[in-house]
Amino acid sequence: MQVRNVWTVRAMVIVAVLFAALMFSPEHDARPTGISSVDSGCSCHSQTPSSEVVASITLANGSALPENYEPGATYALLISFSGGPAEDNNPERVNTGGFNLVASKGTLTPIDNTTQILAGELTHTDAGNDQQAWNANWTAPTSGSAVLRLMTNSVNGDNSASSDDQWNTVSYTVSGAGGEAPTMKANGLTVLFSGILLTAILFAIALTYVFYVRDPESFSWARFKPWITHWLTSTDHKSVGTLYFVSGLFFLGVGGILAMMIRIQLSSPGNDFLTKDEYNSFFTLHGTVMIFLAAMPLINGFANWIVPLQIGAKDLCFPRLNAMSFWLQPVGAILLLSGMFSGMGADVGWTGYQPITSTTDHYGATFWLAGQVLLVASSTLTGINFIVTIATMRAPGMGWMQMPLFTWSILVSVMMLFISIPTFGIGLIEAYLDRTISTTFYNTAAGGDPLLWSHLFWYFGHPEVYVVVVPAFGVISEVIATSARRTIFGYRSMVYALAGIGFVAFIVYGHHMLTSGMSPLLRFVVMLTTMLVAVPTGIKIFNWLKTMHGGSLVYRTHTLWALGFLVTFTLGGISGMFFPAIAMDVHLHETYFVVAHFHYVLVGGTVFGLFAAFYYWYPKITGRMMSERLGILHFLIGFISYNGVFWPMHKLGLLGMTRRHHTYYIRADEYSDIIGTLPPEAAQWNFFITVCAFMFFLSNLIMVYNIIASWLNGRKAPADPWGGWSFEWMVSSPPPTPSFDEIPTLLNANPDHAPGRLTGMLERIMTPDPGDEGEEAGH
Amino acid sequence: MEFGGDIFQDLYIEFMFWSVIVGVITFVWMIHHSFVYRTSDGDLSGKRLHLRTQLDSLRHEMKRAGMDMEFEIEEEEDERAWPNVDNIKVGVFPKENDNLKLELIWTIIPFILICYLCWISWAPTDAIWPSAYELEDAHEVGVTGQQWFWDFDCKGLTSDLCDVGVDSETGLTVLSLKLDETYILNLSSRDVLHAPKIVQYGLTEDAVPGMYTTIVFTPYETGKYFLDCAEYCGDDHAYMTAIIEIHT
Ligand code: HEM
Ligand SMILES: [Cu+2]
Ligand SMILES: [Cu+2]
Repeated sequence: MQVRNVWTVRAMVIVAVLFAALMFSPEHDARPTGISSVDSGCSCHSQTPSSEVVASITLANGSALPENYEPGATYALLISFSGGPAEDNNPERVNTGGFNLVASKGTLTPIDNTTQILAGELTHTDAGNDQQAWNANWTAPTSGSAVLRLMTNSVNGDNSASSDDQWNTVSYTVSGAGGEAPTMKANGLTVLFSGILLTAILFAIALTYVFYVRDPESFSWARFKPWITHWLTSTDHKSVGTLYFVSGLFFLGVGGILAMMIRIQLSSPGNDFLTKDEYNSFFTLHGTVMIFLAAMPLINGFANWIVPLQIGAKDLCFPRLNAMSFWLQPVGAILLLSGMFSGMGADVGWTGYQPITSTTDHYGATFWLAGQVLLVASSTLTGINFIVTIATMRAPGMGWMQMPLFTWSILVSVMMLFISIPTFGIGLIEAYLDRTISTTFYNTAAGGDPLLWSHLFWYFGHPEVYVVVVPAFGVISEVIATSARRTIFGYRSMVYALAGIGFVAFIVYGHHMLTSGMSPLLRFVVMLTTMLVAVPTGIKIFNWLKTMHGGSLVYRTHTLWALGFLVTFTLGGISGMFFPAIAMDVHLHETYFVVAHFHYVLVGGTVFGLFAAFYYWYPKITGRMMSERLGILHFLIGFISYNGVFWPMHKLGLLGMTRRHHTYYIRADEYSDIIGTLPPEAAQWNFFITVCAFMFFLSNLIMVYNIIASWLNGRKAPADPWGGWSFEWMVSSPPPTPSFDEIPTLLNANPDHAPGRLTGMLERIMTPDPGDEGEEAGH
Repeated sequence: MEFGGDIFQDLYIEFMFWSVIVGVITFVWMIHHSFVYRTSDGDLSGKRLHLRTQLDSLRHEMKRAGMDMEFEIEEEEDERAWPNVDNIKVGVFPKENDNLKLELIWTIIPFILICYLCWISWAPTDAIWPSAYELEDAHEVGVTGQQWFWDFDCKGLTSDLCDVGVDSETGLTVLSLKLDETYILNLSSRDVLHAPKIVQYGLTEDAVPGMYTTIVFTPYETGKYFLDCAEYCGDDHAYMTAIIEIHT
């Protein structure tokens, strides 16, 4: 009792101190913004508009703007402001102020040297700096209502950003010729995300209906309750794994839909399918969703399902922790995406570079950070769980060097994750505090360092890309060996290569910052270490090829995906060699060459590996065979269209198409003499890419259909349909719970099975001493 | 001039050469093996699979029911169904299949190749960031990024060497520089990260707030060159463009 009281008091003190810290945290104006665009107000002055400044747009003759415009007619506008420091504290009337005018439709044209068009918006020039009124022309569009939005600032003329300068904004709506009233237009983002949600719900209902029709009995509450309770509370590794599959596939779809939107926008230059705001949130969430909510959960699904089976364990070491890791994910996902429903999704790129993440006015970024903190927690717990499970729960006879390669790859992957992800968590929390209580970690005006984030992020971010690709290596090792009916060639060198990748991953992240003002010596070191990654990766590829030698390769769907993986991953690996050569990186940095490269390794590597895994372990997981015919169709369409999407991107990147841009510039019209804009055929290539992207997206629906249809109607699967050797093929399909009635013992076909020195040492550390167990029992 | 500039092009051609060699070796090897070692025997679809399935479930049920009876498909029949070079069996770690010499070959040769590639990329890197004594006659020009435009500062250079204006056709800011002069572009930013990218010359460097970074730029062909922003910086990132005009 006494003890508990002390703890309550302590907890209260801690809470009180935290609360006080929040209250006394520095009041800091963390976001100075510029006269830059509609959303953010006028330069370097205070953040909120001031009512002392009166902004107005009239026709040049002084009369008010018409309510309805003549289509295509040109109107002479008078843009002006009154009040504010320009009149009160600026006797000489120099440098009185400026303005920025945006027309949602129609075109604005300057008529004298006091105004200019900058980035599609009308603003004043240096010559127009000493005025309070400016003239310009607006040509009306042919239809639809147009919004003219003006921001002006009134300054005191001392030529510096002084805080008593003020600004204000005003907007006018001019309806089209038909005089239609301005309609409320729903935000595209909201529509899309609600659409995705609706589709998911409809899909769920349809699926439920299918099951209902097959077996109406099972829909009584008495039978539904245990079912739903099971899925919500189960800690069984197989059930949790299935949950991971469901959520992973769902988010693969969400990320895919986002990618389709991105591709529609880019299908022609200057397209306005998405606004720039929407585009920016879309690629951010595409990246985040694909990596954290699609690839990683799917990998976790396989890790959960297969690793305990492969090492002959009844479950993971900490089953409840495992369930918690999973349930953190949907919560994190909802948080992360919730900004989207407001139309203000995070717009910072999946890398979340600073200081933009701390300062962007899209409040979705706050949710995005918060959601990722939960995902970090989830990954950390998963990491602990798998490391401990693999280290301590292997069946008798399975030393480190007898572990199946998929288990090895998961071990290496979670090791990397566990070591690297905390730094990312720290960065996220810092950024989150910056946004919520105005700390100044990344506020450069207050001495914050934007490069701190780059270091924290990439120390995690580079290992992260291996975290998602290494399990695919494991899958491919299993699939190739089984399909060729051979032992994997060079098991030991495969393990060393994996470990080598795991090590090198931590000393190469500098290659993401080669253009951030790095010291020359460090540049060279990073170039060398980065290229080193090619050695272990090369070993793996050559070993896979050699495994096929002398085998008898049976072409199954998973074999095809594995061979497809070999092609695409090799290409992705080769294009990766271009970046560390710094003289090339300064050209390729942030171009579509990078996009092509990382999709070749992320989609052609991770996702193809996951597809192979789906076809390979599906019979084990569901107890049904998958339709090979649909599988092969999926492979053919998917593989070809995939290459159609990403191969041309290499060329676009080389020509200088920059990534994360919602539009691109073609060398035509007013750009025809500007060297470095894209040649006209780039527009055609982009269109081609979009068409292929849709084919790729749709081809994956074949797999989803196949998964569901085979689950319902597939032939019954035997315990070992492909002829693998590891323990998962020993139990029936699907495996019973607990998976093993008794823990099996791994036999060894190799005559001399003395462990090497290093393995022996590790073995002694990791296996519990019989003496310890005796003590345990004594308690 | 080809895309990326001369330094890029030289290196690119060299890397492409080695890429093609590595690619051809890998793909020829792969295609050869996947045709030569393919087989359709041992295909478990159809009848045999059915047999095995029934056998498996029978075995399982009997075990559940506590009956301890073992039966197997006969060994030689199994052999025919599974061309099993390494005698792979469930629950047995298979006979290792390795060849130290081969593995060393494809460890060491790629290692030598990457050492070579590093070596040839060294000098071009130095050419991009020359050392201070090579830059004695260089002119300094300030380039400051701000959401979402570029601010060029000629720092008192004569208008022949450096001038800032506006392009009449596109409305973009123009920085005019002189052919064959060396410029140090001193980059900084007033708000978030930006990165001027002189596309055709293949030069990019981040503009970081609170810090100076540099691009050394020696224009060697006249013309109007496109400059855009290669570090995501917010809404109008794609509009953050300018023109660098090179005159004689
Ligand atoms: C249907 C397939 C896909 C298509 C068509 C596609 C297309 C694209 C495009 C065009 C971009 C560049 C956007 C820009 O820079 O403006 C992009 C970015 C990205 N994609 Fe994909 N993608 C696909 C699948 C995937 C998958 C499966 C993953 C990961 C497993 C992935 C991960 C990423 C990442 C991390 C980014 C970078 C986002 C950023 O710049 O912040 N993509 N994708
Ligand atoms: Cu990296
Ligand atoms: Cu930018």
